Amino acid sequence: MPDRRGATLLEDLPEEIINKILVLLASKDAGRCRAVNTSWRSATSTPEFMLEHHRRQPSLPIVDGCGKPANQVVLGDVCAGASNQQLWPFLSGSKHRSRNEPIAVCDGFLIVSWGYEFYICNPVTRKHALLPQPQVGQGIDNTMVGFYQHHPTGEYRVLWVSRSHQTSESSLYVLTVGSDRPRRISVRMPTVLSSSAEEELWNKLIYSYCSSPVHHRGSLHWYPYGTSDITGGGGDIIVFDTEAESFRWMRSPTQPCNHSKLFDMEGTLAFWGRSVSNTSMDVWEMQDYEAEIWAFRYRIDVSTVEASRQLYLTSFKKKKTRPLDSAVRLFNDMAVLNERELLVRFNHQHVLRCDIDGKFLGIVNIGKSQYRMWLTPHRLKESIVPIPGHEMQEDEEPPFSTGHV
Amino acid sequence: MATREAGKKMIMLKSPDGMEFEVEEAVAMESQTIRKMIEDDCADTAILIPNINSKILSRVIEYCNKHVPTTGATGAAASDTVAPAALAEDLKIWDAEFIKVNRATRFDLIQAASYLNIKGLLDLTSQTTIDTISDNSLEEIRSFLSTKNDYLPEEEQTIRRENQWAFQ
Repeated sequence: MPDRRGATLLEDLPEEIINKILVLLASKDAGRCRAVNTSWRSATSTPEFMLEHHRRQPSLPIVDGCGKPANQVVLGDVCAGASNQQLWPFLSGSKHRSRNEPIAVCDGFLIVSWGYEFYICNPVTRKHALLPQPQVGQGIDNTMVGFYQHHPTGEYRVLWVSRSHQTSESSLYVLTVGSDRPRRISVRMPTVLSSSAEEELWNKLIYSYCSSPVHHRGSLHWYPYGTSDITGGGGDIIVFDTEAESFRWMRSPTQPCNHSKLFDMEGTLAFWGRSVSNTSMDVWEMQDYEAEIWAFRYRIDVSTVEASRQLYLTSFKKKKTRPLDSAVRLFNDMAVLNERELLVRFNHQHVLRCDIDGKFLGIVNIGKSQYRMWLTPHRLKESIVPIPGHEMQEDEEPPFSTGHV
Repeated sequence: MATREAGKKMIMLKSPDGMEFEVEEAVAMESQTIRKMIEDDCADTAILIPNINSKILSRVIEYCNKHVPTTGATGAAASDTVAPAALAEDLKIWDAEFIKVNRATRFDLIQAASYLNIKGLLDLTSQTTIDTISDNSLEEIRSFLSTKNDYLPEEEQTIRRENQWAFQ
């Protein structure tokens, strides 16, 4: 620090301090300041910087705006209004909607399908790259069943099930993002399954794509639809160890049912279950992963939320209460907002925000308006990290829009 | 300056330009650097703070004085604390006033906050720089932050093109 009064320039500050400041910038500003000068450019372009920047971003739930105003919306601070919400439409119109939903999200990368192709994209830097598929040809279906970061190497990997209609055989492939060729892996399981049970395992993996596996402690966890236990009592959760590349099973905290799902709750594996009547929901948390011990965390009843909503209405000076007028009679789905708050879809179009005690906190809007929306199992944690293996990729026009609204 | 109360342990901080500041130990310990010195018994009667002149040091002490009751003398890190809403609001207003300084002083404060490891002050001083970057054009950023453009015009164009996503 120079002693002369007022002579300190930003450039006089140690590089370390400047880096500490730059890493706090919003993604767009971090990108923009690369054009300020060469030293800022190098500071914001190192892998360490980009990873630290990514680490600091919140993990936000993605909701499906059903085409109006956008198909995919990242919900920021839902109580703060429009300014903190970002919209990522993958196609502005609803014509091809079903073809470009994200089918997998990991950190700041999304995978979307377009026709028969799969693309990985970074919605922040608007870069995308085509993903090579295991086998291409007539009568072969490739289904992406997992997308994760392989912790020992930091690589992003895609897990495929490739199925041939002719032979009815399924095989498992792992693709490292950035490489050209998926690698076929042998299927290792704790118990030998009968061929019909193995067939069912594939079906469960293939058809559970919409419930997206939960990545926890280096393993992917699926809680598939359908109640039949294919493992001969081994458990109803399918676990894939991404390091050993082998399968095993785990038990969920309750009897298998169709109204449940696994999710990540602030870094722990959690389980959500609805009652058969859909009027209450329970949340369990994995207490001891090795011993597979679940701990019951809380139950929320529809009546609690509805009573709290009524109270909210009366304490609210009546302005526009239209969206609030829909009574909460059942629970459809939920997503975690943070440690204390949840998003709950409670009818065919509305999502509310409540805390874990069932206290109603408001109806969720997209921007300033009330739109129909669905919760998705995906979360996005912004990143300016380039798509691996595609650092130098030019901004060719993608077949879908990754722009903001 | 610090209201001196009976029974409170006082610490002497010295700036390189010879000024001495007597502050409560709890206030001085808002700085993790000083806290460590005290805990490691490296601090006798006075601590010399190198590199931070008396003008800046007095502002830093002013900041710590204001913030010490909310973070508490026993708190390990001066991170998010659960202060009552009104108190937090009051602090926010105070902070906003505090940071109304010229650019050079701000950079001095950033450096001091970093050296003394005072998270709240570093966040506060960094935030104004972040706001400057967020709210302004490249030319304005360079001018407001007195940082030079060392790109050739065509180089700058290339960088802008490579990071087009950030300019849309």
